[in-house]
Amino acid sequence: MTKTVIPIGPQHPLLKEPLAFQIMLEGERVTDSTMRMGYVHRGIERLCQERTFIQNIHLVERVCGICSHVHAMTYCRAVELLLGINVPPRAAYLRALLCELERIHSHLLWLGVLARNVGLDTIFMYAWRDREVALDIMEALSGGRVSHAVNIIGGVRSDVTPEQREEILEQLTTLDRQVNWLLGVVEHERSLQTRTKGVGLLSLQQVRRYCVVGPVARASGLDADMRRDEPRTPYDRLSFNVPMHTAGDVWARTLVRMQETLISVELCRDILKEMPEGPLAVRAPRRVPPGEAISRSEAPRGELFYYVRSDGSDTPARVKIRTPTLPSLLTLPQQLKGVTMADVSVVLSGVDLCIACADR
Amino acid sequence: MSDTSRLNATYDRIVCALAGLCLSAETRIKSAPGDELVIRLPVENLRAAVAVLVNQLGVTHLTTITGEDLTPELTLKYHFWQERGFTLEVELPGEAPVVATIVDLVPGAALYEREVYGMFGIAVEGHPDLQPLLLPDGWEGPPPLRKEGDRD
Amino acid sequence: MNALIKMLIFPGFGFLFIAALAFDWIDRRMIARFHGRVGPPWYQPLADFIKLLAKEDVVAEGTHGLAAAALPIVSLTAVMTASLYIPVGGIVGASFEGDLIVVLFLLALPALAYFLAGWISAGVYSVLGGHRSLLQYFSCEVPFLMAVTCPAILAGSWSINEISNFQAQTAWSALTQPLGFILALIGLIGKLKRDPLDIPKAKSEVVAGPLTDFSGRKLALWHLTMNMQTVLGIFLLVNLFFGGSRFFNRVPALPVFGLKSVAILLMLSTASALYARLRIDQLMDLGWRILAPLALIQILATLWIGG
Repeated sequence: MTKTVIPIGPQHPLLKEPLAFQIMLEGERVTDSTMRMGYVHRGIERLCQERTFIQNIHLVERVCGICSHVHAMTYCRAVELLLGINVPPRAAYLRALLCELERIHSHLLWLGVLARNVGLDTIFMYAWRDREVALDIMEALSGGRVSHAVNIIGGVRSDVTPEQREEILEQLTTLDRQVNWLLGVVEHERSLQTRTKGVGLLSLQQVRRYCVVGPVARASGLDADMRRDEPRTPYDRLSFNVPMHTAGDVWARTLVRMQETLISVELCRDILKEMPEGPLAVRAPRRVPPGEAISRSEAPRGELFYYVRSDGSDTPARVKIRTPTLPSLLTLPQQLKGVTMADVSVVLSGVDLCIACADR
Repeated sequence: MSDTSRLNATYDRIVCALAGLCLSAETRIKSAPGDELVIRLPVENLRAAVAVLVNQLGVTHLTTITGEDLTPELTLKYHFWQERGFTLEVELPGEAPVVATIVDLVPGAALYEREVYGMFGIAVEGHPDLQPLLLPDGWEGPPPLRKEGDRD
Repeated sequence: MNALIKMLIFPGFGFLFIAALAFDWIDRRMIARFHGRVGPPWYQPLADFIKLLAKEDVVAEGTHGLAAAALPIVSLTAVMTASLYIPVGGIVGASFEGDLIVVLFLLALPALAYFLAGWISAGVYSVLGGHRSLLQYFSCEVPFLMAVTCPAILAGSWSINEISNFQAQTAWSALTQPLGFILALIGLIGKLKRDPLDIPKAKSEVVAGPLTDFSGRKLALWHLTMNMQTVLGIFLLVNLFFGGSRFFNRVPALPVFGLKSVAILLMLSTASALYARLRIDQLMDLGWRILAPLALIQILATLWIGG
């Protein structure tokens, strides 16, 4: 058998963001792989130390281009903990609404990328068409499709009017119908299943060892979801399932993400219906007292972690960001071992990499 | 409030198990719901403490490792999760800091230890593949998150 | 003089060129409709072709320059030569007993050139894509050849025109040998490296396969070759399986032929829109374990009917 080294990345049609793999092949089979990251490292943790608490909201929103809101929200929560203020319930509901919309948008985007990488462009087009609905709603809510800039320390900036509410509920019905239909197509699409079943296997034990989070962990049977495990308003008042599968392959991840999308649509509806009236923000003190705070939330890819320390000045002394992609990256050499070259694309798409998140 | 008491019981268990190894245990870091437990350890006890957590308490999830330059010394915080978050904190000297790896106990720490190595220049002893995680090849400046870089 | 017109204009090279662009456009348009998109305007394939011709032609370091220039020309020549022997709507460019074999041989040449294009270049993606193209060629060509033999056996002739005319007197081979037609269609998808059997040039795996290092004029010629191959493959299937115009005696043969061709193109477009790409090992399983035995059954059945 001939041995070849195939470089995948930093630029490759498979990867939407720069990341470099060296894949060692024997014939068509992968024997080993190495990974190099850091191509989109922007030094955001360092930059955070040189900007004020308020400027940082906009900086951390740019860590990720897909889950921008959840970054800003988690950061704001950490600062609010330092200040000892609670956001008004309506603000918490609005934040959660955008989080769920972002999850829908992220999961549908992911489905499209997976389908594209296995050569099923039709699903790609349909998934991205349906994703537009979520983007439209977010645009109506915040004025931005990707970067929303709705978070401020102490609450949110923009409200939802009663007319908007009705309109969004209507759009959610469309979204619900389309996602259900898409799920039906995916579930019955045999050629997609032949490509994804048994590929990129991670056992429950491996998932635990590598501290994997999010849909990848849930597809291997690890029952972890920060929305439920560390409940905050409004998730403590809403009831929702955490979909789980045990197969641990890319197909199970597909099912987990699709079911989560449906649950998120449902959650959006509940949030809109149960949203209390009240102010959007509380006045935040100008000075942040010294102290440390940790804030965790469930981003579309899993547990997002922010650690913020203040030394009493107007800039934070340290901001640490842990994005959910990092532990998934660590499992890739394991998942790639023994698959064929053709499955490399499926494995890499299956974990839903966000390189910009991981590099910060 | 049985939920709160269950969570407090988790902290009690952890504090009990690490009692002989730690310098102090306090709920210092603000978080919700309730402040998070921080256990300060001498750096030589770190591996022993993580071994106790993994083997006796069944802790598996390490969220991340936060390094920090508190000139003159450095600290490392190991953020774990079991039912709720808690943190192990060790203090390292600013000059030639060395810490033992925990990759063999918690394999998920591999990338975080590499990041700490790159960003703070903390040598992680026993790490199977110790290279900076995010820095470009041939980076020559000081570790980017160290404070001495500010003087230039 | 008549022969020259036949060769250069109709049904020869000029017609083939226009048909290649037209079929490419119809194909892209249909797939776009499946995707819920609008699709490109009619002149897009021509614009793409001219744009590629005008682009800088880069030969990657380590690639054999002469071979890289020769291979697209060789495969284009083979395809154009093959076009002379394929009747279009009853109009025959050139025909003799045994031209089916010549056409099949000429249509196999581009596959070899495609593999060599990967072999001579220095890039790993090209080499890997080249290997894959050979593997795919073997698993698709065998059922394809066996399937297209069946109408020949039934007609008792190896001339495409004869086979076509024979069906005008009896019935379409697609009706008498539906299995053979399906096998030939799948084989054709594999030969043309279209979705879902675009394994040698799967973008997310091997970038553009053997053609990764090609650019400018050479790439334009490759694309033209591929498009002409699609046209000829479809024309061949129409002649072999939907030959003659028994049901449409009053209607001129040419529009009917065009309709049949577009119908087969629609089948190809549907297949590419509906299925995910197979892995090369899955394709080999499919080719050798399912398609080849089925083709054998079809041949035996044909022999039984014909004998």
